[in-house]
Amino acid sequence: MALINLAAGEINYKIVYYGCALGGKTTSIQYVYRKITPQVKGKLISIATEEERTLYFDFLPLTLEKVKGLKTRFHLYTVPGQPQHNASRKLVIQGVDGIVFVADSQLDRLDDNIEAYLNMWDNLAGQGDSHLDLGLVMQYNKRDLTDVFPVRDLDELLNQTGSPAAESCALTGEGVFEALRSVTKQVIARTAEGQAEPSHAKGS
Amino acid sequence: MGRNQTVLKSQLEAADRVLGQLSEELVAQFLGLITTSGQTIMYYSAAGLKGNVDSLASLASGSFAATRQLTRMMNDYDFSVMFQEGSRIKVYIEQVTGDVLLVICFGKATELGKVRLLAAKAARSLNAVLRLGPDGQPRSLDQEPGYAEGIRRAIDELFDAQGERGGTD
Repeated sequence: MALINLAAGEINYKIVYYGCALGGKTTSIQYVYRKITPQVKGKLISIATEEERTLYFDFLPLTLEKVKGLKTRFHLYTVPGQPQHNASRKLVIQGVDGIVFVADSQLDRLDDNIEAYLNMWDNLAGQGDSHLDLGLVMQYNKRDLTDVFPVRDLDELLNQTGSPAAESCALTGEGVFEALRSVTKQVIARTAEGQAEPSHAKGS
Repeated sequence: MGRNQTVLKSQLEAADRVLGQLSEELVAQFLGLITTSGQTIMYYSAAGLKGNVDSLASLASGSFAATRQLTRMMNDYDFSVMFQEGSRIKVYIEQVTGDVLLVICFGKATELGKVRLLAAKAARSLNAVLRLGPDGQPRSLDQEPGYAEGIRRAIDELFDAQGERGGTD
């Protein structure tokens, strides 16, 4: 649900990083914060436990240059991945425009990934029909490890909407901006043109 | 994202008049209108918060949403006001519409009772002028020629500058 403030010349989009616990959501947003052009980024806020596990959310605002007199802002959030924090996840995804689903590619995390993916759709369904026009990208993380599923298998197991996918290593940042680029373009397309880019066709 | 929120100039001007008056009546460090999803609509700040207003809006909406959910667990569905008191700063949040919150941060010089009274009055006025409509308002983004292409180019330039090229879409 983008906030279009025509009087102030601003458009605000909400992008949420979703996925199972310890999958790389916070690491991804921290990488964006460290590496993106300073003029674009705001302050990174984290509501976390003392053990640095996300308790409620991480938040990072990005503000792009004016285009046609309109300032475009992306508010990036993460959800807490641990199962017991589902009430918090429901709150964070309120008004979401696009989701980066961060999947842990390791073989022994498959059940956790599937549970998180189904949980995402359950929580979106709880928002009514607002999820039907959502931007979505799959970010297959931890591709630097050895005991991981092939991307083709992950796509078949998890990517039920045929959304664009990016391989990543959030620690080094590989693929993190690719996923973010994909989801931001999708939400722009939906708001600005009233129609979707081909988010339901698998990316190359 | 089935339903976008569009704030029109006339709405913002009317809301500005209400907030401006409230700002004069209260010695507040921050007065702002935010959405329940954590986005800033407009604000008055005396506390030099300019760079952190996005963070403030995000935290205020998250805090309000969490407390509202907590009260619902106890079968109270009429939660519309939240107050938090620190040693120097007090935070008062009042629901204006289903989508909009009024956030007031103030110090010791301002009485809570005065804030409650004037915030409720302002919320009623704001409710009348700031019910955010769905898309299809008089001027929408698909009538902004070149915006979509321009912002796509800006996104590419931004991310290319980080050393990553290509993409999946």
